[in-house]
Amino acid sequence: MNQATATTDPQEEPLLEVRDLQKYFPLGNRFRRRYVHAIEDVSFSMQPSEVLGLVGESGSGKSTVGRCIVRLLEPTSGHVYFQGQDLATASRSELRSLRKPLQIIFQDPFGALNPRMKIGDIIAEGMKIHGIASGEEARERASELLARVGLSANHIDRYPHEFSGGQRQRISIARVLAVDARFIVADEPLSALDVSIQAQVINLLQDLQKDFDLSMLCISHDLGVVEHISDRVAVMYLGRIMEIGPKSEIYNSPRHPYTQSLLEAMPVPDPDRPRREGNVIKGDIPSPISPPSGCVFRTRCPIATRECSEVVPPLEEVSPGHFKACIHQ
Amino acid sequence: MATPRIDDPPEWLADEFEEPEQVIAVRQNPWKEAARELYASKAALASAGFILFVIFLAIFAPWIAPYDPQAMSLPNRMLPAAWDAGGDWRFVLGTDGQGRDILSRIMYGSQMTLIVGLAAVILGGIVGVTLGLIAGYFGGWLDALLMRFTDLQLAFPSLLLGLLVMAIIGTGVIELICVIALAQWAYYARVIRAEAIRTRELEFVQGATALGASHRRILLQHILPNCVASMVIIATFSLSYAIYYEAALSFFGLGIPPAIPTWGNMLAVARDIMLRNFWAPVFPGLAITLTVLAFNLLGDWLRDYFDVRV
Amino acid sequence: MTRGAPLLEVRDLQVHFDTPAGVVKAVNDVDFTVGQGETLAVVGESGSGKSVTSLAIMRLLGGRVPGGEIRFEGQDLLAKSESEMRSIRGNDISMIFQEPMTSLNPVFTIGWQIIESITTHLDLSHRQAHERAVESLNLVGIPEARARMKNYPHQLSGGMRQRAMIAMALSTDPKLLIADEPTTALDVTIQAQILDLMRRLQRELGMSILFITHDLAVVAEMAHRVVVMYSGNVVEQAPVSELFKSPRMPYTIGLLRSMPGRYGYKKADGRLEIIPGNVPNPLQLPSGCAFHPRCRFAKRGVCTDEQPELQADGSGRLVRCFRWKEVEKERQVATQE
Repeated sequence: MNQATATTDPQEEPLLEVRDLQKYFPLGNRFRRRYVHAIEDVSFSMQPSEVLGLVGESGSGKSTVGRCIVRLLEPTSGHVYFQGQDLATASRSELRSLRKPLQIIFQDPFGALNPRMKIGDIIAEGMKIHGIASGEEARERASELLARVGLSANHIDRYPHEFSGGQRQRISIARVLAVDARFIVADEPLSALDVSIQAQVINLLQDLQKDFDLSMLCISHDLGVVEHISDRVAVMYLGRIMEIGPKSEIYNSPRHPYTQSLLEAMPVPDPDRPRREGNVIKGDIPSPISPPSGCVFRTRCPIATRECSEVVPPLEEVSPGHFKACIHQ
Repeated sequence: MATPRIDDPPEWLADEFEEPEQVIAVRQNPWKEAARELYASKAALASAGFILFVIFLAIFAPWIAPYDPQAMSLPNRMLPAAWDAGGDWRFVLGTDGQGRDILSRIMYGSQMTLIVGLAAVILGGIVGVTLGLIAGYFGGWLDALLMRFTDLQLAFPSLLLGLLVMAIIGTGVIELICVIALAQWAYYARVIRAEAIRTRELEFVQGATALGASHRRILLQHILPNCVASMVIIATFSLSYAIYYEAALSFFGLGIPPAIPTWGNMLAVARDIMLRNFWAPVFPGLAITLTVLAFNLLGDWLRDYFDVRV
Repeated sequence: MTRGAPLLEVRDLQVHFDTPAGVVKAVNDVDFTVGQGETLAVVGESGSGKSVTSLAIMRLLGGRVPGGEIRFEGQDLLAKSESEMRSIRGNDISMIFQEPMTSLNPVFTIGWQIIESITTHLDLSHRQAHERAVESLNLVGIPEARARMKNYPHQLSGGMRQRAMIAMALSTDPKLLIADEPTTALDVTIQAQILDLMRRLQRELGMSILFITHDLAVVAEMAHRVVVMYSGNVVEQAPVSELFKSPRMPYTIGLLRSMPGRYGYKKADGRLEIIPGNVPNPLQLPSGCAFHPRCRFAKRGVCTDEQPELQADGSGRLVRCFRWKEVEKERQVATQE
């Protein structure tokens, strides 16, 4: 039923499969319980060595999806299968070893490293936890990884506060590589960095993804970053996937009105491009506490009709591997 | 030579041009910085100096005290301070009801005061920090349960509690240390719990969880080291409180018997002869006041110092 | 777009901070002008000094008076007293910030805050001020403006708060609006709305905007002229079309080419072109040109020894680079191949 999980090669076993994922956060107390509908009915799958870009604005739930995959959050319902194994039914010890290939890089390079640990120890920690290496061997591997991410191995005994934001992000990446990660959730990895540093880090991520054959879920609100690094792109709005497909199709021929609005709203670094005044999408993003009925985008959609409020549109294939959730053509 | 293209780095730069990452923050020695800031605050500097002086007394009392603190000298009972009428310069600060030299007793008294204080702070600290970490990190019903105990503890007037407990378990050094620790642990627990809650939301803790770290590792490696600042601050205030508390208990006769001097029991003993020898309570009282003040001021300074960094 | 005398003229602006570790030259000899009815974008990353410059113009640097000259309508702002500045701030020069949640007072309604701003500077009765406040809310496209006057900031969405802040800034009909990263914290679709709004308002009200940002795409959408800052200096100044079509300063070229996505420059192996290295530590500035350690055109002996001056080419463009002519030649060669 979940056609969105079909990829370009349906024969291959997907590395990661997310099915009907749902996460609600409770608000208020026992007497006035309400829920933030962070993600609803999210399903997709990923192959090894593939990069899926997950874009969305605030309230889209994209970060929540990432955290549910690496199990920093427990989904309210739904399943995450990694290499066929359901993370929800894994025992505590199974989960421990399942964590090793599933790693995450955070947005804020300043909070992501323990200020009281030397960076060599930070990188080596994962190796110690999973018994990959310890002591001198771990230290050597940490030095190698430091060099691999573009830092000098001499700095292995320094503390995080001695490094810049971009350098700290590299250390985070090294930490994740130290445990032989196979799937990395990169949650807005560039947003907190200076523009001239972003290009460095994105190149690094791309290099490492190719060299280590990594599968990556790149979560970002920056459409340019996603365009550069992704093979496929999924667009989320208010907790649901609106459109998912190969990158070139999403960027060049988007089929969902939200994707179209999003791409239209993106500022273009070409001053001579004619600007059509007033042709911007109206309204604000609704609150995820009480999302609109039916299609969640209908309140701002230029082509919404009455039927849009009655039924939640399922993901339909519009071309091989390209799905959209809209009842209109 | 071909025209250099816009992509090629210029020749002289080519060799050094591998992702130059040498720009790192200027390395500063944290101890030197701390010392510099300590000098800046006269109050903190004076306090630190005074505390060092008290520690010096405690360590070297056996060598520099003029008399044995327990040596009684009945002909020289209740002498006032040397500069007062009737004083004797052999007993500079006077003597108590049993003729024991007050100066020597104050020097020796610093030993007991510091030992009891430190032991109580350490004991209370270990208990309080452990419970606070567990409550803050795990949350849920465990947190609620532990916090109810803390609330109970804090609701009781501490002196009353101390009197009650000592009435039950008896007096003595160990008992005294336990009672003081009992009065202290709840403060540690409260503050460390708040620190643990704050720290566990930070992304490096989440990163450690994602790496597969066990709860124990996260608590010991990630959360605890980031609470050290708070612990040090509480410890200084706690020490000053312990000294005061021991004095209070001794004043009620529940502390250490007066043969072994502590500043507290010196005060208790002096109470009886206060009207005849006005100096007797002054010096132990002054010793307690100054030491408590010094620790408090140092604690204030530490709190400000750590605040800037955190 | 510039008609007549410039509205704002900044000359030789210098802001130095004394820190225990040494003197930090946050802004070093900065020159630029903002004409009537034009938008000047100031582009830079962290450490460039762009925000400090805007605070210096508003004299919001905590009592410190920067060196140099800032002429607003011909008068030197740096020579004015604090009370004189107070009558200019919020009145002739208004400012909006990045985080509307912290720039709006959470314990007062937005109506109250706008009215306060109006009555401080304009001689109107409370009723007149109220009407004017509703007008400005309408002007910025807030629906049901009259009802909204009673809302508190937390009751509005991010986009609405930013609009409210713009309304407050415009309620006194300022001649110059300083916008410090006004859309950086907003979602893409909301950003598009706010930029559209600001363009429209500028046309309708004829005001000038000093737009500070790190986002070159936003610059292309908004600016008439651009000033690029690096490490406390102005390194390039040009009309917007020319800056994007023929950038001269290697830093600008690097910025343009390192944008991820279809507008950046992707090399043959798929990697994005980068500016290597890091922004220099202001306490340890490189010798010579501050950018040379990261510059692929740097020439030993030329760029490493002396700081370049801003060179004018007579057509209004300025660039702080010794080798800009060679760089220009190579760029033209590269784009033709």
